[in-house]
Amino acid sequence: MKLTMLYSFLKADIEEVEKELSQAIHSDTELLKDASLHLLQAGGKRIRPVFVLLAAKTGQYDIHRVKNAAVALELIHMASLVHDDVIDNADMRRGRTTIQAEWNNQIAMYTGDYMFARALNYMTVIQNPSAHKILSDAIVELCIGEIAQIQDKYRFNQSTRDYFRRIKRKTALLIAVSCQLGAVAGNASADIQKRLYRFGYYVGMAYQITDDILDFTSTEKELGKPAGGDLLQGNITLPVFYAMENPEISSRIKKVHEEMPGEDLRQIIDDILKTDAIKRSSAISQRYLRKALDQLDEIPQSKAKKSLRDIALFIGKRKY
Amino acid sequence: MSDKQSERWMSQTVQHILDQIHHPYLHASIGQPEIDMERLSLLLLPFYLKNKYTNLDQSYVSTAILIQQALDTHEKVSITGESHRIKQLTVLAGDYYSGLYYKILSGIPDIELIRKIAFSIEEINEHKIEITSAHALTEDEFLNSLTKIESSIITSLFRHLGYDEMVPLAEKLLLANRLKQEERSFAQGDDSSLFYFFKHGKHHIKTSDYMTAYKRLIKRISGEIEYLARELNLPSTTKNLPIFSSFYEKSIIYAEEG
Repeated sequence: MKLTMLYSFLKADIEEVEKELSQAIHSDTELLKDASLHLLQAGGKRIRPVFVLLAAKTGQYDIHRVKNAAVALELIHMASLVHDDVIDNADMRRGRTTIQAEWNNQIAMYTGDYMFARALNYMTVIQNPSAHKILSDAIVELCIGEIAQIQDKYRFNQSTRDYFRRIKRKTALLIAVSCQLGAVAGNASADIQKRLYRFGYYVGMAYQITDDILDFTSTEKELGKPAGGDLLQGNITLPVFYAMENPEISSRIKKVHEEMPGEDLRQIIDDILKTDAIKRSSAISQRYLRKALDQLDEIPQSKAKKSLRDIALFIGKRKY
Repeated sequence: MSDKQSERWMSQTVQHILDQIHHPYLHASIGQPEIDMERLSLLLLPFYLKNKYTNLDQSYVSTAILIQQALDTHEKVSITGESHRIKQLTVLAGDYYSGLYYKILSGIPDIELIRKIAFSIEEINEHKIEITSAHALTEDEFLNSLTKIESSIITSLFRHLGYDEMVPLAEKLLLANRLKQEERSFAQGDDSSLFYFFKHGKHHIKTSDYMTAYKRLIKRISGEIEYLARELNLPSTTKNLPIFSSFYEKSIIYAEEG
């Protein structure tokens, strides 16, 4: 089943968000418009806007109001992707050349900054100060998380606490905030706003752990990049922590460096796969998912609630 | 306004900004950000004139400096020769400062200013891209782009706070500063948008005439600054502010050169 099937009743509203995204990145400066369109047309799951819309359905839903938060969240995500591609020196994203590869770093930086400003412009349609407080706090935390990821590279003596804090900032926060802002924009009750924030947070944690597992269990074709790429780049993820409980594997993992030959890395991946690291990481991911589903218990039955539940379950089962 | 008071407000604001952006790892890696004192003193000018500077005013001024810091930090990303890790952290530092300015304005809360500043950032990035295509621009268009790039944030804030009368002077001072900075970059053999424009702009200028063209521009803008400063009837003590001191030095030099 495709993810989009899980919220098919939102089709018209998602199209409205997509249309608004195209307008949002319009600029009289041709090159800027081309660069922004280049990324927009590469597509994406638009999972953040979907969470915003579904969460808003728990309150007084008005697509003309809510879409502003949805567009803002997607633009912030897109701006971060453009800058991430500069950070990672990436040439390809979603099967297309990146802005920094198609033009250069300078154009990519300007485009990312422009998109971020457009996002804030859209957010200001929402006049509720707490919405801005929520989003601005999350953006700062997101940046701190990305900086921590660089700081923690190849730091093999870090703790799982460092890892969980990092993935919270890197992934879970923006999903949590998407759900919360949807509820705020829909004027849902304070209790529902909190529950949806926690739902998004737990889903985001499960999503990232699953991503980190797939980095070892998927093929290069499925991932679109070589397996074990995170480890090669020095990112210590949950399966690596568990595998390192074995002293022999730990000493081999500690030798990983950026220039490590592919066959040596492959051997280490095989070592990790022979342990119970994947199974234990999966169990943690599932535990987060259960917590996410628990948060939905007190929310009244609706199509939106069913979609939120189905998306959480989909994320738990995804294979790539 | 006394010199002591202006120094106190400046150092107090610098400390406030440094406290906001404090990040030990980031700054150990890419260096502590340098606060542009000329820009800061210009931002403080309306407060000097009314002799009042509240904590809220300080938040506004800090925000304008942080945004500039974010944009200027991202300008450094394309400079070659830096290590990959430094480049990564430079991108993230700019994003971090952007997040912080949004956080400060959300905390006030001033949603209207968030909107106006967002519009300014859009405008600045559009003009930054415009000047990369210098061949299509006339001198007026190029100078207009540089003016927007340098002053859009400050002028948005001035207008928002009701200091509209300061806008024309701020635009000219920041343009003059940028042109001087361009000249310094050119003299050091670094990239310079201005001299690139001289070479590739719509009205191509011969290499041997670059400095004449530059001095002509500075002289014209200096004249405009002197006129605007007189119109505002600024007290003589403002001459000691960093934004004016460098201008007066240059102004005297050009006056002597005739």
